[in-house]
Amino acid sequence: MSEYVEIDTVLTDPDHLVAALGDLGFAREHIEVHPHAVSLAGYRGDERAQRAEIVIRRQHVGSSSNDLGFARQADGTYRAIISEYDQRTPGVRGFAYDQAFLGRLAQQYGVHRLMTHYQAQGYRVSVQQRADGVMHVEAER
Amino acid sequence: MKLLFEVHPDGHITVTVEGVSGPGCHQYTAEAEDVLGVATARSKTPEFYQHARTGHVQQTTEQ
Repeated sequence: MSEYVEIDTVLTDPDHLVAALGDLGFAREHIEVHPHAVSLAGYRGDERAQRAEIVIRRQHVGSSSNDLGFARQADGTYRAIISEYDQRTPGVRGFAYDQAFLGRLAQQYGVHRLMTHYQAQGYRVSVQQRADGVMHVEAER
Repeated sequence: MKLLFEVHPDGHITVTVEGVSGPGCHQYTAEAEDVLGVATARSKTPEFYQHARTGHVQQTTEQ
């Protein structure tokens, strides 16, 4: 071993973000990907001021939910737009869309990013999930 | 050479490079940072210092 680095995952790639949402149980056909940001709707169908490029409509989030979105920022990262209600209320997947949800999303995103990047670079890549929830990714060549 | 990633449920990732000693391994951790996000901590493991002390390589100053 020679160097050890800790990294905070940042969401920048829309394809891998969509794949990670799929890993957390969202059907691909329920994840909208727009080239430009579109308006999000509240639980009554009312248009909100928030806009996002990646959107999951409220009926696929929870029974009384608002639209959930990921808005591309000027620096190229995606920021989650989640109502306070949905951050504290379990939705159709059985979990609330809280910080733990965003963490698991970043975890799945990271695994997708690593697999795609290192396989393209000619590495042999393997992924294992440990009992404590940590995903182990090995890239070797 | 081998890259070992631990991807935690909070999105935090640790990267360890095996089979490359000294500052030469920095390119691999830098690549991982480019792919994933922002480095928050960095440390050298004993193999790095062993080579640095014996003069095979010069220690870099990046942190």
